Amino acid sequence: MASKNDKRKTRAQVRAEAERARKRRLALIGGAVALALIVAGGLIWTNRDSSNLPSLQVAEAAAFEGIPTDGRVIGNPDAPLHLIEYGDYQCPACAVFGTQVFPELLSDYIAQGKVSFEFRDLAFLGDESVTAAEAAACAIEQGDFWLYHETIYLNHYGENLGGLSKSRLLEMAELSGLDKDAMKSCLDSGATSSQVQEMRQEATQLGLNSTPSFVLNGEVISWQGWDALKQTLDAALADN
Amino acid sequence: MQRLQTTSRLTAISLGLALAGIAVSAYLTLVHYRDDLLVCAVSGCHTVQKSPYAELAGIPVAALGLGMFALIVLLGALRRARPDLSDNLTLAIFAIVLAGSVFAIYLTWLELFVIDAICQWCVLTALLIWASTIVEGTLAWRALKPPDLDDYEDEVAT
Repeated sequence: MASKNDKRKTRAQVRAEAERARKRRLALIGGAVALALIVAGGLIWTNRDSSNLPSLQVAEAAAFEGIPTDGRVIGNPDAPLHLIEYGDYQCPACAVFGTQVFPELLSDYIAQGKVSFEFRDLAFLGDESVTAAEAAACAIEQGDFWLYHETIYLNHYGENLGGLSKSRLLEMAELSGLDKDAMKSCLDSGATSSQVQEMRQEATQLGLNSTPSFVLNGEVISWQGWDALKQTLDAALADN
Repeated sequence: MQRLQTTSRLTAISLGLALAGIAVSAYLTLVHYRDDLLVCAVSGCHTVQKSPYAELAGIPVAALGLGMFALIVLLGALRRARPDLSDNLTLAIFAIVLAGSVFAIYLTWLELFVIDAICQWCVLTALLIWASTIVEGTLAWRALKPPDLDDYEDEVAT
């Protein structure tokens, strides 16, 4: 049996050893945590650069000044021609129509009282098309569809690539002067989803399977470019 | 004896979680290239898979997850085969799953607040990583636990 002094010494050694082991454990686990955080930080830093979404732009409100609007309809309610576009916010041809052709249609025909124009959704290109269509319908509830509609087209970015994510649509709403919180509540509640579905069914019943598609005074006309549409409008105006 | 049984059980759970992780992330890697194979109970899988965040320096994030789970299985198997390396391997696995866990938190945040879409398979992968981190954290803590002072003192006293 060890003497009393030897026993005390041995206990002291054991305590020191245990203390060293405790510190070693904390150091090793701390090192592992630090290493993990550095690796995760590197992954996050690399991934956050993956998003190359362009910054948002807002359409010009001045283009719509003085032109009567009623929800999805813009222009003189008594105009001889009523032109409906069935579009998808993610469709590239619709974006070209919205940003390049529509301004001319607006100034040359709609603002002149010759045409009343209506936009209806044929949201068929995926989740972001549907969310954008629902957001645009929510804008009607706030009484200002057209600036938001044009702003969405101005920020067109591919299909389902995050360009029309809910957060970006909310930012666009704010940029367009809409109440962002009200827009969020409207989107979250799904208040406009049935409206968007009904428009898609309606387009299908009309036999439309591509966007943009147009209906002029109840008659489906195929989209063959702005010049062809202008000729059709001029001819229809001459007949009236 | 009880301690050994618990450790063995935890390493088996960790291995099971990693194998499940391999299955889910292999599927997600496949659908990254074959969109038509994507089965989704919610509506956001496609959006998440096609988002610019689904790749990291050109590599699908799902493939990174697959690599991580495969590495855990490999190191986990080695840990069972070589008990002498057990502590170091446990620490290495813990560091790997913790890094994966933090990255999974970031990806889930992206889904909820940036992409605004939820992918059920991605959520399942994140849950597997978080569960693995808890198990491996427990194993690391136990593996590096210093000897019980009372046991030593009993030994000295006899």
